[in-house]
Amino acid sequence: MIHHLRALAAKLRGFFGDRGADRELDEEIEAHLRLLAERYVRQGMSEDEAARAARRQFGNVTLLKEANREMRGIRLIDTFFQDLRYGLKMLRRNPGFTIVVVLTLALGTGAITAIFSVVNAVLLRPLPYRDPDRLVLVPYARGQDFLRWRDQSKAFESIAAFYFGTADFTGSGEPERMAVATVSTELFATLGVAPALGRAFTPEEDREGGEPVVVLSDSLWRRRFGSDPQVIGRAITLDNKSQTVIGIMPPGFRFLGDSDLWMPLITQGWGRVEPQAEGEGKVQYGLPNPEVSVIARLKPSLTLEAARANLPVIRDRELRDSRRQAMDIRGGGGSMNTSRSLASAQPINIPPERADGQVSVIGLRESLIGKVRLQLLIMFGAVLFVLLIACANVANLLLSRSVVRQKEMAIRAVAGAGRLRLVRQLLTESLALSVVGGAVGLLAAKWGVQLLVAISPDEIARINESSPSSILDGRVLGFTSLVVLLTGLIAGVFPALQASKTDINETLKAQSTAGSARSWRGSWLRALPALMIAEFALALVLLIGAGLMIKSFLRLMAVPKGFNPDGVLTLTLSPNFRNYPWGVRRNFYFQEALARVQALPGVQSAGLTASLPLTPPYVTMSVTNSTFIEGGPRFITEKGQDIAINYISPDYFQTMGIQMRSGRPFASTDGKEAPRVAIISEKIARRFFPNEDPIGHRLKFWGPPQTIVGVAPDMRHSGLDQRVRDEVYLPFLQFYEYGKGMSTLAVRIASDQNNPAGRASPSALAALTAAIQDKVRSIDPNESVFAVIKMDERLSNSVAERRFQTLLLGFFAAVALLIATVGIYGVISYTVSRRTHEIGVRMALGAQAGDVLRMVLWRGMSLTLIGVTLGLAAAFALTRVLKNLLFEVSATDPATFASIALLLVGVALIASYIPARRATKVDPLQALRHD
Amino acid sequence: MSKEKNTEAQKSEVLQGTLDLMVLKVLDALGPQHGYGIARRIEQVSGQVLQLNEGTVYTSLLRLQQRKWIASEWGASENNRKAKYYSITKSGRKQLALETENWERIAGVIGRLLKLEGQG
Repeated sequence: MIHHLRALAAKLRGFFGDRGADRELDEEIEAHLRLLAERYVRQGMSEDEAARAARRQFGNVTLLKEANREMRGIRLIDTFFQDLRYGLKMLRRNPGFTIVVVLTLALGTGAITAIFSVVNAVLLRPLPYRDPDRLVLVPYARGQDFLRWRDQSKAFESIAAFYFGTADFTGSGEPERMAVATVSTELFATLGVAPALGRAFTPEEDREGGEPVVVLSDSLWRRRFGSDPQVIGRAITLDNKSQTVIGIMPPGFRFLGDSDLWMPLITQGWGRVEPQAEGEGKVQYGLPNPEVSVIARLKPSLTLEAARANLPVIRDRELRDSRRQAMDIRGGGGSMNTSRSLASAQPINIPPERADGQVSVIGLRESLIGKVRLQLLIMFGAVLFVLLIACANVANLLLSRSVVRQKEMAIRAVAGAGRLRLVRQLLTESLALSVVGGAVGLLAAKWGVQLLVAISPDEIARINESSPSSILDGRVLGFTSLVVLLTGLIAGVFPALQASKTDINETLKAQSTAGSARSWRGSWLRALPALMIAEFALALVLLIGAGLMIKSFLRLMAVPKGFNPDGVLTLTLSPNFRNYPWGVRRNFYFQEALARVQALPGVQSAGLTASLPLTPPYVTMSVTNSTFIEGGPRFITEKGQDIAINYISPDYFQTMGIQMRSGRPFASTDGKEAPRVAIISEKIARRFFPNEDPIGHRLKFWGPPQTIVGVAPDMRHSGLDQRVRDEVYLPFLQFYEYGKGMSTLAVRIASDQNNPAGRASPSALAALTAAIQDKVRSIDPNESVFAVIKMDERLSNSVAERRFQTLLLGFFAAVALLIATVGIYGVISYTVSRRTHEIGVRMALGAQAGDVLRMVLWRGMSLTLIGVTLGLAAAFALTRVLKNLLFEVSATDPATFASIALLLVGVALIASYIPARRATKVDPLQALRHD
Repeated sequence: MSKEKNTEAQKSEVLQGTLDLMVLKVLDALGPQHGYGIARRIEQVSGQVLQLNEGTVYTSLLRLQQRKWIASEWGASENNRKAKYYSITKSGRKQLALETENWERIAGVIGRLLKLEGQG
């Protein structure tokens, strides 16, 4: 490698005519020496003597040549390797120093590379579709709007509708519920992606009664069909219907979430648009007008605004209502059969409803990264701080060492190295350090990305794409190289300028360190405290940010949950609708599951619910004065309000550890024939019965009036950080004739299974998990059974995003603190060692150990306090970017600011105390003799 | 080792600034010269006062060339050997005039200063 570069350098020199200049100089020198020698011979010297005398007279030929070459300035590459060799030798000679610097830089580069590779994957890398920037998304639309846009709009090259749902796969092996994207036949063409095997849908397949076809995902194909290409043309059973496989999508293909298969959306029955010569198109609507999402490819050079204008919409209240409902019930642990909306498939950034009556259109990219962008940029900012701190610290270390190397530099200067040459030498050394640090950092980053992917919540939509194998894409490598180069330069420039300023005479004359202390003033060493202050300020900003996040997280965890998740297992039940239609048969399945699981040994109690805490309510209802509570208006206005309806079985509250606020829970006597009863949430009780006991009042919003028998604590359904809903509980049995799309089984493990700490033991939970699944499967072996999820896992998942942000920011802040601590320790130790002489004199003149301690500590503390003051100001300005990530904590929370500042001061105090102690141990005699 | 080298380095450092001026002056006074000739002329004028590492002349020549104060071309020397001849350029003359004036002013000041010191 080096050899090749050398050859290249030689070629370059030849190209620039440098070799000619070298030869010319050689000739001139040779002639000069010959003439001098001839003169000495004429003066009577022997030839040998004359040649020697000529050389003496002429001076050092090699140095001269080098100086001239240097002045011509093309020897950069040669010098570089010379410097590099020398630098590496120096670094090997000081392994301790080298390791500290390399680790600091590796930490900085590694962290920023890891975060950047996520930023790259999520924000920068193009979506894996053809011309992805021309794809726009309409999250909610009506089928007939879609038809109109498809047939009339001139803004789009192609347009497709889709929704997400499920289908039960049976007939070969374990039954499984598949995630299905039902897509109009134009979808794959709109995205510009073709199946890897077989074919995509054709327009003929958009027809009722045709042969049902299906396209498989690569992962499903591998998992269930052993990657057998013969599966194409074969029929598989989905929802008891036979469907022919026609294609396999390429590996890694996803479209707004992971779908297992794609089926054609039949739009044929939706009505037809009849274009007319003028005015609005006269539209003859077919009855089905389902809610869909629409993706469209803009014609080249058209903007999103143009798209908006081209999407006229038939707006009605119905659409808005259904949209709201779709949002309400999204994502509910498998609410697939009722919610077909986009939101259930993948968390995306849905813009608020537009007031001007236009439809919401967003770029596809924007829809995927809108919410994530801010978080990622904050993380990137934080990690940039870490890198800057690392840089400052390395600069500090190099500066301190440059003093040790003053003599070496002076000798090199005497030997003829110019100032530029010394700067270059030192920069080469710092670059070598940053390259080694960068290489180690890159390895760390690879590991870091793995960790990030493992702990990141799903919300960082495309993070999965930054797999460790793809971390080394060109952009990431380029970025890292740039970082390495810049850190090398930034960390090296102060020390290099300092060292090259070395006053040769003074350094060489000076025998004592006290002598060189004089050169502190007016030198680049003044940068030392400035760098230290900057480090503290940056570290404080990070620490305060992390402190705010941690405080938010603690506040969040302290939110009253109203239930006890420990020892509770949950299983969502959702048998196939074709086999278990709404009504008695379906309810029987749920009840049977409850009965069989209740009978299991090791089960303390079990209950059914429509929606667990922390999952969105399954049913919401809009109620008004006339449709909620009997006996007089309770609402201030006639405008209605949404309440959540939850049906539960008698033992549900007991199972979840939910304590009634008043009244009684449901009993098994609250059966079908018994009087109707209801339990209301505390929030309803407070709002509608502020000065009276709600028990005994009657609700009238659903069938025969229900008597309120109890008040339950408030549950948070959308997350601990979300508002509490008004919630009404009805008995499962009295709700019987109404639809229950799905139910969730909650099971509390018997307390005799607890471990000595009083918590449910993991092995007992695992055994029960298997038993529950077996029991439920035994009801009907053709039904797929979902996974059993521990309630505390659900709790932990509900805060995953915040925990992720808190962890990450906390980690960066901890690293910053560590580096800054090492930094202040280094600077103070160094100050002490430089001032040993002075301290010795002071002690000889009667200074006490306490005086010395105070003096040294004050040096550390003055830097810390300035840094902390600046950091507080910067944090005050910067933490507001965190505002949206915080929960019940102000972005300028004084308590956090104060305690974090104190923490940093305390740590700095300890870090300065150790070297200060050492200073008090200085033996005056020793120090003075040293002079 | 350091002491000895140090003195040398200091001497050459002292010389560096003035050497350029001397070379310019020689070329101005004598017309085109090769490096050896310039070195001889400086030696001749300075006698034993200045001890010159003659190699530094070439550094000075390169420096002056880079500033376009002198030009060079290959020619034949007295004994018909190939030699590089340097000559002063127009801007070189201007620079020489400027530097000479500067030098004289400073030398005058220092001279007066030293005399004053002597009287005190």
